[in-house]
Amino acid sequence: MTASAPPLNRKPQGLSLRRRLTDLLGWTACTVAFLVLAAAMTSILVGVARRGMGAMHWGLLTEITQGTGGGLLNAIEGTLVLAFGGLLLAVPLGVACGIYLAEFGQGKGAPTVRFLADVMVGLPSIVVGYFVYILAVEDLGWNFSVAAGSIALAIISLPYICRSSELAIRQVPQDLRNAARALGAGDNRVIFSIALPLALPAIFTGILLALAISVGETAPLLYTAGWSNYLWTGHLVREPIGYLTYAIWAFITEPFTEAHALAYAAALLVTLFVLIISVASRLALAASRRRLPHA
Amino acid sequence: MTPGNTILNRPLAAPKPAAAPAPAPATRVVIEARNVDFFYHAHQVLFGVSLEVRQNEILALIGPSGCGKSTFLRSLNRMNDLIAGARLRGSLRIDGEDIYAPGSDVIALRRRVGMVFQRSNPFPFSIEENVTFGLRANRLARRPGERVAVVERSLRAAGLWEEGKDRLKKPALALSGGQQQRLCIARALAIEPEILLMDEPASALDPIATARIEELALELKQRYTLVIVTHNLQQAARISDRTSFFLMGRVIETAPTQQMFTHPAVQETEDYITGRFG
Repeated sequence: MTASAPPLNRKPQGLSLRRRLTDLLGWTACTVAFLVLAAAMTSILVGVARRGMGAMHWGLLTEITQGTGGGLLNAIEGTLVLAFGGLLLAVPLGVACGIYLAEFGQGKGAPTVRFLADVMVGLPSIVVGYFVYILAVEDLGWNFSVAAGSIALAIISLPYICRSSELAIRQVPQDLRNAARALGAGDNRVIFSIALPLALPAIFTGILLALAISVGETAPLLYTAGWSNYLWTGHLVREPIGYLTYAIWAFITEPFTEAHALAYAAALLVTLFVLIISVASRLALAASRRRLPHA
Repeated sequence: MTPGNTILNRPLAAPKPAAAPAPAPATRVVIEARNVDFFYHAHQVLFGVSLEVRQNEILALIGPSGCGKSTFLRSLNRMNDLIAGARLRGSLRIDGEDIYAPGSDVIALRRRVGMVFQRSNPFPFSIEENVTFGLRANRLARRPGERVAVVERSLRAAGLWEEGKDRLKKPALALSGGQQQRLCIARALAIEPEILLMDEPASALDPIATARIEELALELKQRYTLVIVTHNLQQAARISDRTSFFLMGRVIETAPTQQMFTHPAVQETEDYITGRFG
């Protein structure tokens, strides 16, 4: 470069007034939008954290709920039981769907499954709750129960697991599949020894996302899991179970400070669960990036 | 491209194993293509390709981009089957057996006909797992200790044993580009194919790594039959016994390499190897 050449990162001094105004307007709009969103988000998080921290005590984690007071052990346990119950049902089916879409889906099958998955994402969760209520709680006579609640959560998380598994498996480079086939590997060998192991961290990320959604769900559980002040005794049907989001929903409308404290403590716990799961899923994703060659 | 006579002035063999004498005419024909046409949907890419490959020789396929040489190579282990709309007409026999006959076993074919790709594509597993993948896929060498022996034999054959023996459990992707390509060769050799197909195996490598692959090819032909697609005419001249020149989906000429590069029988071949087009 010669000495007389202009520096590459010239300031936009030569720009017309109109372009500078447009630029300013654009930046202002973006900044304002960001600030509004960040303010709302911060306000919620700070509010939950402040009032939740104030309500925190060891008893929350060790005692069960008594009326509108006591602890949240039953709700914490219930949230975990329901979320894992949901995953137990949704993961095998969802990952299998993902494999089908990524590897085998030809003709009309795959677009149909994909369309249904997208419709299910858009389904209001309370509709899912009502559907399982009619089917399991009423018709099958399971009453409010772990089984009914888990099925509702499984239906909610299924499309997420399915689509994220599909994308994870597709992202495994074609080069590696070709290499495997050239070594005499059949369909199953390519899928189970190459595609699936390499997609696993990304599939795991999708599962964690579905878990975060399950932990935060309320509506489908109102119709299916009920509520219980007691610890779960292990029955899958005809035994209602507590969960954290119910504590938020029910206790915040009570006229007692004690109940509000419980609601905020539950809100803080749910937020922390979701935060931990999100961080874990990011780590899993980073691991998958490291693992895949020239992706 | 340099003028043809520069090529001709170069020694025809790589420094190490001296150029093998032209194969005895009695050598067995391993691959025999008769009037092979190939289509992607309605688009025809090969027109009446006929050629044969003899045991323990290196056949180089040369020609400008898009002339069908890679398509022909990939039809020899039926990798083209994976592309929708791919169709072959004519006869393609390996050891006398029609590999496109209805009901013929594609998996068994790929075990006999190994392939090394243009871009090295080791699995993101350990070096050892790369070499044993084909064994596991084909349920070979299942007794304990057997696989260890295969790993050593294959890495030695691919000239990677000295560099790799202390890092068998280390990730294959930590190897250099040339080492990765030799690992891919070792991986293909582990299942003891008869034929090794190489699709521009050195085009992404530096000159030193390229020279190693070429030396390796010359060593491998003692035990295997090799078909190599290359854009590099000097490479074809250095390592191959015979050369086929492809142009727009047709085989223009197949001849002993030395003869083709000194006295091409067809005008188009001469134009191509002297750099007048392509």
